[in-house]
Amino acid sequence: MSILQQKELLSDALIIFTKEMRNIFKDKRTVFSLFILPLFLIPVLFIGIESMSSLQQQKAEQTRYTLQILNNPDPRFTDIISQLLSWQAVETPGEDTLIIEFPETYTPGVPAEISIRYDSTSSASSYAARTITRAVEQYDDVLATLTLKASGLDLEVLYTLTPKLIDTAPPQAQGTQFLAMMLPYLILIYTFAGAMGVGMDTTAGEKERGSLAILLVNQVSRTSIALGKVLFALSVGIISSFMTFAGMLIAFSVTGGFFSEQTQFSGFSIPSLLTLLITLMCTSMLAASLIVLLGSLAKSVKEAAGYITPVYIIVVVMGVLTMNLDAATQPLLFLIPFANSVFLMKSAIIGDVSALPLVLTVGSLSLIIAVLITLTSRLYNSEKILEGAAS
Amino acid sequence: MVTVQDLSKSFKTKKQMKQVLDHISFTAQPGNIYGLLGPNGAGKTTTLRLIATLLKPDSGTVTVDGSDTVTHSRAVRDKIGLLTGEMRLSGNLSPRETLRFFGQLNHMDRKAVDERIASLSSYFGMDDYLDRPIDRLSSGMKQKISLAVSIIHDPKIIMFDEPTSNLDILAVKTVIDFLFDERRQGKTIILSTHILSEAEKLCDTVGILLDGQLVVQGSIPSLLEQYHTPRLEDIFFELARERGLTT
Ligand SMILES: Nc1ncnc2c1ncn2[C@@H]1O[C@H](COP(=O)(O)OP(=O)(O)O)[C@@H](O)[C@H]1O
Ligand SMILES: [Mg+2]
Repeated sequence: MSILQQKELLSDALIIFTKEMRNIFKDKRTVFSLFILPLFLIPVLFIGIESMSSLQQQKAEQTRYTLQILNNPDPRFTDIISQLLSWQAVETPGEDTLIIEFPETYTPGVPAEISIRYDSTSSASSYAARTITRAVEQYDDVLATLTLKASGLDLEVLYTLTPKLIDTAPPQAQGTQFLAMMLPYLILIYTFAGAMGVGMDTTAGEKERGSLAILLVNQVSRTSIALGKVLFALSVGIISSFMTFAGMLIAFSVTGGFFSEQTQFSGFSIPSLLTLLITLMCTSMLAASLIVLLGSLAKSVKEAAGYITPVYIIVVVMGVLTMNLDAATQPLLFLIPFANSVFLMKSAIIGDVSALPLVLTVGSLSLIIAVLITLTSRLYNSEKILEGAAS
Repeated sequence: MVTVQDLSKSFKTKKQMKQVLDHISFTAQPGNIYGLLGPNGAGKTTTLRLIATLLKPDSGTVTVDGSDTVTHSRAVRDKIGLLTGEMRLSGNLSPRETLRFFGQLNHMDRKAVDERIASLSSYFGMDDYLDRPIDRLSSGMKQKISLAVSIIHDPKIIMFDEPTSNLDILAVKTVIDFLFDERRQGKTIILSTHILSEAEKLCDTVGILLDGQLVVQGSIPSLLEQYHTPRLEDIFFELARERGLTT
């Protein structure tokens, strides 16, 4: 192809791209939900989660619990519980009652198992169970002290070691665990959702509206049309993923990091930020080009949704599965699309950036994106594209 | 002028090949409306798409004003405007922006497009809503825009697939007036329809397409005379019966 033809290919693609972008930006609702909403939906979500969990904590502390304590021969145990928990004893256990049971023949000082029955689905009950566990441990210390005293010793002599935790993560990475866990996941979801609507509309939607044939009868090559559509979908994907990212940053500065007591999020280093931006670009480009290809294969928006939704679900599940994984140490994992983006974003957030994963990710994603775009352009150049298109 | 010669086309469907057009030939003349008549699935849309360079013939040729649709597809696309009754415009762009977009696709310069838009707008009476979002317009208004879109580059040949399907009666009048005006200007017009009364009213020449074969063609008066009947419908059903397509 001559340079002149390539130039025309691109400028023609830009005609399609510009028209689609204008169409999007003229629709206030779409602009709002794609580009503006993440900016405050995510902060609101974070503030909501944070206040919910602190509210629950408060509630758990203030609740008066009903306990049934069986076979307890020692009032010192109940005293310890009273110091930690507001409670009252009941004869017949109700639904919320926690039951603490000593063995029938229990004598203080003899090894034994103490069972604590609680309801793990209730956060208050779980909180009480944890507190009672602590009470048991404290009571055990009391017993140990007595035993030692009997032989003229003090408990303190047994405790020779005192653990002291020091966070060795770089100051920037401290408290980024939660961010590292949530951010890639949210971004993946939002990017996909953002590119999905417009990507399906510009492909299968065009067929459904009967305007595809008209679009193909003019001076613009079909390759340009395919390129213009891909360019459009991936731009929307990139913008909405950037907005999601910005929303996360706002959320962090508003809530002062998540679970504020240990967390003071202090921003990203330049390499981290660059890695994040590059990853965002690649991920949204991958999502968009995949969506445009699948959408172009479908005859209707409904059918397109049938193709794209399973992919979306797989991506989301992958996001969830990798949420708790540490950034991959296996370089080969960076060759798996979408998973590599998640790993890379995580390590960037933690501040642990290195070249190899980035190169592997960008390289493999570029290759896949190139293949997807080539396939789309082939499809547009074949007669298949009109199959099932309305008139 | 559009010349279709010995045109065949088949599609690959699950495992087997399906012959959709079987050696059809016809000529559509300037200043004349040629109607392709046939029931659903006869191959009308496929024929129009072959002429519009959207599909490639298996065998046979199509020439549009002397240009071959395979070897000179770009030149052909410059000469034709394709419309379908099924096209539903939508979106937030205005008619003006939409028309400019299609003008760009036809590589017209901005000045030429704007002049053309002005003349189409006054012809179709679209001045009042030329800058309103398409999504807020009535279906009749949208129909006029669709017509304007497909002839933005002032093609010599106009093809219209099922022009009145999905249209309300007022929009039908717009379409018919438009086609007659274009015919008067010497345009070559090909339309497809499965509505015989419509063909009778609109077309000068018709070709009846049944199962991918052009079973009969000619001017409407000559066909009526040949079959000794006052109605196109009778000819159509007789031919369909001969082929076992109806009882
Ligand atoms: N791309 C395609 N692939 C497979 N079959 C097709 C394709 N396009 C049309 N057909 C089939 O060809 C036949 C003729 O279709 P069409 O030209 O749309 O008929 P008409 O417009 O007269 O209703 C139909 O049976 C249709 O199912
Ligand atoms: Mg048809």
